[in-house]
Amino acid sequence: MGKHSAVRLTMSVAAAAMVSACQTTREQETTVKPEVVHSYLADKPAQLHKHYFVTLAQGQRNKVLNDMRLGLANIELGNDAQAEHLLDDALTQIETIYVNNENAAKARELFTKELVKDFKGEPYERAMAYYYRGLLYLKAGDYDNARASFKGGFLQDSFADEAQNQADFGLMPFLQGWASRCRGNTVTAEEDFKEFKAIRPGFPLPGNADNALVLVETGSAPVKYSATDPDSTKPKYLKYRRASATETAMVKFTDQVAGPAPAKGAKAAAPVMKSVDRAVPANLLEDVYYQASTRGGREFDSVLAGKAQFKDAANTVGNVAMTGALVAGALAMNSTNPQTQRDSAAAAGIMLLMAVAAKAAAEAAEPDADIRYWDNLPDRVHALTLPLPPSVTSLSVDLLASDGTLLRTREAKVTRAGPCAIAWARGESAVPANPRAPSSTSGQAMFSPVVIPPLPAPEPAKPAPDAPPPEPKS
Amino acid sequence: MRRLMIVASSALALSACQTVQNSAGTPTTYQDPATLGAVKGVGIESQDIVSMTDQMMRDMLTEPRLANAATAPNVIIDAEYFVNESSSRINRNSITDRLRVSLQRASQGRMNFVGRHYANMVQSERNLKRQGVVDKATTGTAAAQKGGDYRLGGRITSQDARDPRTGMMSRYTQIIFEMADLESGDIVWSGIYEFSKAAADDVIYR
Repeated sequence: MGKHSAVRLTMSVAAAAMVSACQTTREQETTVKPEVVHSYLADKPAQLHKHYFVTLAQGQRNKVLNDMRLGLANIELGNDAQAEHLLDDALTQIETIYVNNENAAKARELFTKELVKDFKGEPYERAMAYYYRGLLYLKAGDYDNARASFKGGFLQDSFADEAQNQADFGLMPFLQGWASRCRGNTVTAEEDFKEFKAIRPGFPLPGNADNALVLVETGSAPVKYSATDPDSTKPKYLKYRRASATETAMVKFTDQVAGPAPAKGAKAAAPVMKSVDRAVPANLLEDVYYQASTRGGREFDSVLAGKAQFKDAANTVGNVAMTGALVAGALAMNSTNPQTQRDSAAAAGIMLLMAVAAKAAAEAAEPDADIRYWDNLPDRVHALTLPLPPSVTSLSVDLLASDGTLLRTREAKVTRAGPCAIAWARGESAVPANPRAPSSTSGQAMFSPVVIPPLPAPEPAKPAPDAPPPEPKS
Repeated sequence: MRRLMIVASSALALSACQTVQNSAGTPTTYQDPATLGAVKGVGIESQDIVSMTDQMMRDMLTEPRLANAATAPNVIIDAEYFVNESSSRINRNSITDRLRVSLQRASQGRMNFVGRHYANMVQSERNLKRQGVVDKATTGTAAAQKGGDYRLGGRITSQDARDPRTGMMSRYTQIIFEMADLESGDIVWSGIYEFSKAAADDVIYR
């Protein structure tokens, strides 16, 4: 191989290396001044400081994702005001119509990853953001806005590819009906429950005396991954797998009931109350994984399919050109005719360059789906409604495996504001173990520790201008 | 030719590294709440609230029983009976507050406005005066807080539609306002404001 060929090869390898090494700046976390960080964290719960710091470092691209994760974590920690603020922020972004958005346009480009776009979540994630905001409204006794939130969540489910999976998020119309009922709006409640019954005919509706809603969330969020099914006629690049086994929930509390009536002829006295332990199973109301995985293909999958086709075609061109270069190179080396050697070497060089260019283009095409996901969502939501006396302020929730084995017990605080009470429990913690959401930044950075920069040490005070100079050391 | 190809292949390779610069941010600007804002959706937005309350105020002032009675009627305008059944989350007070303030300024004494939402505050002060904890102030005492002759009620409803094929979503929003006579239940005035908005998100979010 001549000197020029070696140079060409080196340049080609360098170009390929550049391709493999690059990543968009939008994926990277930015450096934030320590003063800004500490000022921002000052009014945030200490347990979530690292999560909030990540929000700051990841910026607008992951704002909705981080707001949703933190909103949910704050609900579990009892910081409802923080949670309301975060979820309102997320929903404002979700409801904003992206038209002529620079980053959205970039994500459609052949050589740019989908994940450079601002995260707004898939329909099931958006619906769940409305769900949690609605729960906070229920807790506050604002039933109008609770219903509006659940209705907003239901609408997010109307973009499913297949008609039978459109608007089947039963959790939402059930809670719409509950909110309407608590508001005293019986006409709307009936309509909402009718809509719910069309989706979940077997789920029991609230009884006339029921005044408390209990929601129990079990399991972990559906996991997104990027893959395509070669046998499918429709492109589908974003897929899901279930991350949890089936769990059920048993709600326990101590009820106060009137004791036996006094014997006939006995003096009338205040009824004697006695404590009765009750255990009521919560019914499966929603399967979040089902909602995620039955959405069908996205419109954007067609764009990804185009990118994938380009990648395949460019790879094929690269392979053919590489083979041609090898054949021409072999011919050049084996030929004894100087003219043939020169021509073959030139042809080999050109084909090598073509191969490198095609391979580089193939490598640069980005057909992978955006797999950032809301990782502290549950797998399933169970619910029951019941008549709960004011004396009951907390419930005990047993979480059971599918064979009935007790896995763990959680406490659910009963909150009353307005005529209805609500209790909410989680099988697994809603505080994400990793401050970063999955795939929220580049590969290496995902696993680097999150370190909050310390505040710089204060500068030593300068001596006053009229102060006497320090005495010389003896 | 060869150089050109090398340059072309490098450029092609580097195009994969196309970066989207982090936005430098946008400085705060004042916006006219009566015009379409920078952030747009299909729900109820500031320009809708401004436009609807202005329209309702003007319309209410043309109703003789409210704005031209021999004795100015006592009117209660708050969100207590203003129901939101739409799919837009909204603070209903933002509508009724603007309507009450606009009406009070425009009616110039032709209507009395009772602050029922301040009833607890008023009662607390009345109690302090009667207990002698504070003096009787300057405007004198009243036998009781004022009752209302009329009170505002209303309902926000919406109808949503989505086309999964095109990603187009539309929302028709209807807001009705009614003024009810608090003795007879007669509805002495009503107004309606409606609008429909449609939009489609970028394909990347569908």
